[in-house]
Amino acid sequence: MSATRRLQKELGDLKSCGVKAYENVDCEESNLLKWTVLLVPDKEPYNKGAFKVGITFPVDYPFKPPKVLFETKIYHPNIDEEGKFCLPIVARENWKPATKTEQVMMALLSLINEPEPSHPIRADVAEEYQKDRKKFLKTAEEFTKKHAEKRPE
Amino acid sequence: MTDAENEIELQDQQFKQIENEQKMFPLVADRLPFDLVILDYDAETSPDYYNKAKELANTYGEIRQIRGDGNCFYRAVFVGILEVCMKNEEKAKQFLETCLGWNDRLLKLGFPDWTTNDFCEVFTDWFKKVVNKETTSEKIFDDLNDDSQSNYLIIFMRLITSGYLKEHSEDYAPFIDDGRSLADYCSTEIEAMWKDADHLGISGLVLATGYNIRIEYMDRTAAPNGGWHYDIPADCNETPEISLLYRPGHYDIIYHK
Repeated sequence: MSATRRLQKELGDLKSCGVKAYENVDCEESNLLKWTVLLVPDKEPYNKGAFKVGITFPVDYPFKPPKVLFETKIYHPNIDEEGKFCLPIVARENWKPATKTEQVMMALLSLINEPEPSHPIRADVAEEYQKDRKKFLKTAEEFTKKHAEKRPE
Repeated sequence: MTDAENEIELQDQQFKQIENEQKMFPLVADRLPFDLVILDYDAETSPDYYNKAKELANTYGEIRQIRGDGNCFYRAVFVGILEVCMKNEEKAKQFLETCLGWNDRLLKLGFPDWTTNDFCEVFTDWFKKVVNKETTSEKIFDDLNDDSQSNYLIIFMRLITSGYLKEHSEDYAPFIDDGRSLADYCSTEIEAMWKDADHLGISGLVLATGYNIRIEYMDRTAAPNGGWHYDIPADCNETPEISLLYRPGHYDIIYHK
């Protein structure tokens, strides 16, 4: 399978990229198609924790996009309770085989750091974000402290 | 689930279904008698197509059908080139040179080096085996029908098509009529898999590979006198070695008698 070759290269590159925000990658040795990445955002209210995302690559990767899902709960206008979100870069109709996982992680980090309340997946959280930013920040920070992973040293 | 998610789920199911239906056909079928094309049409209910098929059957002896998955033009041309190369070592070497050269041409155009190198290497490593006769015809056609392997061959064809259009952006940009830039157009229409080739894609691939093609149109509008075909590029002097049959929305390879 040609996907293996590409995934091995991408995995090696990501682990040694030196970007703290997404360099912690785990991959089961027996299954190169399943990764877990620890995202470490640097903006309030998410900078009190870290967030695990699971990446599942299809067998015909890189010709089909990977499926990415939050495994850590997060209080965010664009990410639902099941960890799903809409990110154009990995949407089927936009996917390009030249897109690397690192770019997907960068896009996801910027979605975490800069919520897009105009395209919410959780309307209630988006409304709070727009109308009562203080309350939103407080709730999200508490939520992060309670549910998120520890940030790596 | 929200409405948006429901819709995405539904779309996913629809795409899956379409994909499963497509997968009932091989990516690259065997060569079969051209008369099969005549059987597709009824002399009474669609006489135009029927007569055109009969007329073409005088010239063409065989057809090789290609799966209709949006890649058919790229796949048909590539298989056509491959068959020429399998019979002619000189031409195979020449085509390998062209392909090896494309790696640098693409990088020069600003294609992302990491993934571009990967796509080019997988393609040229595979094609080298054809040139050096380290593979059999059976294995070649097995690979062509293996999704994950053949996707790599197709993306290479798409990248060099995009590359050629970008190298000649002044000539091609005026043909993009919806206000998009050539780079945008290439990115969404050419470099993305499973998107049909239009006239820019056709011209780009032909010129990027250096292989001229003839397209026979099984289409009443494009063949008013029943006997029209197009050679690409239009000014090529010799009869192209590769012929395709175009039926609305789809290309197959056809072979002279």
